[in-house]
Amino acid sequence: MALFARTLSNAVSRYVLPKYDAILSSQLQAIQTRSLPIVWSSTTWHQEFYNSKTDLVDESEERTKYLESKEDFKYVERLIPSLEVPEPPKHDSYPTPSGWSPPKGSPEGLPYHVRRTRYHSHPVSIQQKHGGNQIWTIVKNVDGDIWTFGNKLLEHLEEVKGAEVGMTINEYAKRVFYKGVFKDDVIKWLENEGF
Amino acid sequence: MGSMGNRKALEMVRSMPRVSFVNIRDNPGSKKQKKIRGQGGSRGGESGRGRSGKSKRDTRPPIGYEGGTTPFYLRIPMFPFYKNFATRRQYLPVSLEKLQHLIDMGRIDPEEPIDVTSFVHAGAVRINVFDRVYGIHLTDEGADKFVAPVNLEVQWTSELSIAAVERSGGTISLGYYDPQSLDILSHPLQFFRRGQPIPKRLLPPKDLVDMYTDPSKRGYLSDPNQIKEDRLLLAQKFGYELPDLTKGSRRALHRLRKDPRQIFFGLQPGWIINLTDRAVLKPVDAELQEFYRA
Repeated sequence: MALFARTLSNAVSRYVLPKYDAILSSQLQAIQTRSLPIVWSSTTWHQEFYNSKTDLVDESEERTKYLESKEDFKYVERLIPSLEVPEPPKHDSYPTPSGWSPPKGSPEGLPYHVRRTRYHSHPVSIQQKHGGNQIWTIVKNVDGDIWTFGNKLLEHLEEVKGAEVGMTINEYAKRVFYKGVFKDDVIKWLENEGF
Repeated sequence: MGSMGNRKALEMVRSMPRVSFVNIRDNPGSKKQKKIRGQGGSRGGESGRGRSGKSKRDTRPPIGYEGGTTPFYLRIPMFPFYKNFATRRQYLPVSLEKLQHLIDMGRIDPEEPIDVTSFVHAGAVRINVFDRVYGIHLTDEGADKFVAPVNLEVQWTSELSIAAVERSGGTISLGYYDPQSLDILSHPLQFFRRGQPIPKRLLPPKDLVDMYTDPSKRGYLSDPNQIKEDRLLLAQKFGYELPDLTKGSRRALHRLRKDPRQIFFGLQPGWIINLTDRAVLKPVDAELQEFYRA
């Protein structure tokens, strides 16, 4: 039992059970002797498996038996993460309980367009600098005429604030910066525009 | 950037002559004069250190010295604000609002049981057990908007979150994962690649036993009958009608619970995963089976 207890003591170091070593060395042999299609990126085994100096496998000892089950692999498949962001499922009504709705579609002839992020949300964020003394609301992914877009939204935000609002446009990066906290107002405005 | 003063400044600059090396200079205070020894004009001689004294000879007392009286930083008695700070357990927060959002966006499947792996794969948290993270804390922000019926397992929560989940027709339980098991649970594919047998999940340490055996917190080691009673009490306390989980299509989902020694659903400790052959290897040896079932 002390031998088995050591197995649990350290996940990172190789386990000491000679019987489980035997299973793996036989697995490794099987992999080395045939070329297999790579399902995930190449299987990386722990460094110490290749270290013959600490090899405790006694070749004369009988290897432990095991059962192979392909049916139970479905529980493993559930645990493999997807590498792509999934498309949001279709809901009966929008906005969803969390407040999300897909883009309605902007009217034709609009000189600008604001793309959604890869996670299907609006590209609006808050940037804080100098310990919070400088707060900017950033709108990204503005395609088309960024100046018209920036000025139009600036008009709306100045109405909301009731005072002048600072604005900076980075044409190359397709971003517009507004001085202040206007995230919710900007998102509402974008949804009204159909983005 | 684009404020009123800067706009005016830009207008002024437009009317000024071209900027060149002739008409610009450094801002005052941006370049500090270096100390010069010997005959260095105005900055030489004493090199800015003044006449004889402690300031010239670098024998000033330490910072905070108050001329002999006990300094402020020694008068105030020490209080162990940060004692054992590095050993304290952390639970990463995920709000009910975030969970609802992830379900709405299809990044978490409400038809399957939700545990730490689901949150990590959805991108809600990044768990590093070496930061003494012991799991997920379900916060109650967005409790009003939460409507998804889920089978949820987290490591810390509040009464309001439990009420919000149960009102929506879901179940919630608190499950303890020791750091090794939590690491495996958060990064399952990396663990399977190691080719090691799935370890047994350890039982909670002494100071956490009370929490995980408490039915009012829905601990995984508590009596299910007491949990049933507590669900009714909570519904009465918060004033909602408790949905019947024994009826409906989600009946089977809500009954799913992990064994206290189990890390993954459907996979038992002692099994090895063979990713290349898409198979699961199970030990046949009686001693091993007895050990892993203990």
